[in-house]
Amino acid sequence: MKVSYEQIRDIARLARLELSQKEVPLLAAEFEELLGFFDCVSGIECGISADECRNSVQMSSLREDEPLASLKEEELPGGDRRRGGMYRVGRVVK
Amino acid sequence: MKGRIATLSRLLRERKLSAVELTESYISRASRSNRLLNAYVHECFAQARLAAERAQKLIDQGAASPLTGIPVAVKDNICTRGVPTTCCSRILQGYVPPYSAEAWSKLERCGAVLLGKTNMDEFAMGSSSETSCFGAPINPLNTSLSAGGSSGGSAAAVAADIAAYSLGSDTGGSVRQPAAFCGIVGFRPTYGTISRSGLVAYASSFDQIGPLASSVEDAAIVYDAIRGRDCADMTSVSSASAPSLFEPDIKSITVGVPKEFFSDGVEEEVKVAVEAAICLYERAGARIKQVSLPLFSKALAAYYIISCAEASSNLGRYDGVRYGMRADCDGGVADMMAKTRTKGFGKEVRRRIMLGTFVLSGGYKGQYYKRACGVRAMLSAALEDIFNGCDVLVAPAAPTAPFALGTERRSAAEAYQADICTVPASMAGIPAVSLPCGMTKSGMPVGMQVMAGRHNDGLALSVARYFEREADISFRLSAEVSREL
Repeated sequence: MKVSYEQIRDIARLARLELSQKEVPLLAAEFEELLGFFDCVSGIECGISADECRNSVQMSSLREDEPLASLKEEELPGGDRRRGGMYRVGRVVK
Repeated sequence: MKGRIATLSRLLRERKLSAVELTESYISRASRSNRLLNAYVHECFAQARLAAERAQKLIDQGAASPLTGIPVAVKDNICTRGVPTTCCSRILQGYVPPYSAEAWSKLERCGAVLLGKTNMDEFAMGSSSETSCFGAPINPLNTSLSAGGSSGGSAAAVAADIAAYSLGSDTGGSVRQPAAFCGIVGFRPTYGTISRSGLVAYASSFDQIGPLASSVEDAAIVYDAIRGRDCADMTSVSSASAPSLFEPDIKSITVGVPKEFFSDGVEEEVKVAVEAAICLYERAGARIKQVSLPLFSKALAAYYIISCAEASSNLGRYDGVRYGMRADCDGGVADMMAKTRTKGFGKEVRRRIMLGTFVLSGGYKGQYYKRACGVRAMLSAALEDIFNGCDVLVAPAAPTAPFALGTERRSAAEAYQADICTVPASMAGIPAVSLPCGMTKSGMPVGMQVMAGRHNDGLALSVARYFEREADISFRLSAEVSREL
């Protein structure tokens, strides 16, 4: 796959990295070679999503959500300063 | 000395040695040899002396575990409260974590004595530890050779006996390959059985802490001490509570030999040594079965696509604001962040971040990342099928014997080939033990892997220990290193 200098600069900007003028053509050539190496996965069509992949290798053991009792309003700091559905707080901008 | 932990633990319990004496002896060896080996990048000998005193109290109270008072080294990407943790990167220079990784906390609670943090490839990205900002550790068996990577310092420290055992991390083979290069044992357990909490993330869906030790028994003792579910790691899973090692009935074991692991890219001397090991199992009565893993050829590319993608996300947090160094800059915040990241990360880390950013970018995600995830799912399913007909798989741990430090490679893609044998187990999250199975004509170690199905960690370790006992392979330290010790 051909990688342009512009693409390399765009990717560096997205990755929040700076590149010197000298590095751009070197990286473009490296990317072309590495993407050529990566291209061996291009024949794979298994219609599987990244989430399904993660589940298939059983990497996630997320528990089910459990709703728990939350704090009562009067227990919250400043709960006693409730006025008309809002809270009175200290002045921030002076 | 093999079986170091059990022997030292017995000497401590029988009062033939005190924890303080043992620690002093390791400190003395490490102080003399580390200038040559470059295995430790942060030594914490003062804390080690205090930890040894605390360990001795536990021993005196009869509250010791097998790891109480035993000196350990920990890879520099595993958080240790109060001790620098820099991932051998300039960007984390001076970072001292305010908390410890769960795996290290468990050892600390056992009374383990931390000697220091070990050298590694920057952010665990490499196979020779040469991307470390501290320079590479050397192989204690031959000082001109690589100790492997990325846990090269952890492997070198154990091989030279300047730590009784060590912790490393294995993403695509970073425990198993350095263990193979240094002639010791390295164990990557089932993904999730050791908490990743406090392990600095590189590629989270692969990263796994694992022990490096002088014997399979030692590796199993450490594994048993640090495994277990941890609510701080959402990918952590429970494992059986029984000790991992058992006496396997070798006559009832089917050893699978995946033919693709013996392909052209693997050195002849490596193939010969691993095939001889398989013959040992056969002579002992195990059934040997040739198997095939056709996706082997795509595993390496898929691994690098996914791991770079995850790295580009995980390493986004290093921006000069929250951790470590900040570059001098007269511009705005965005400019400061870019300058910090460019100055702080080494060449290989920058390359992988950019590759990951590319494969996740609009227009290319489907072409690379999603397909790589597909390869991973299919490879895992294929391995599961194979384990329906085999108990374990035996294959080389690395395609080559230890290579020379500073070896010029034609390209990055060629350098990545060093991981070809270890990546399949990482992709599927299955346990794999790397242990020495022979040596080259020049006396350098050749490592093999014993892999088993998910959660059959004990089986992998036990089948590996059977070979270790029968083959009884050992290596000599280089004369240069021996003189320093």
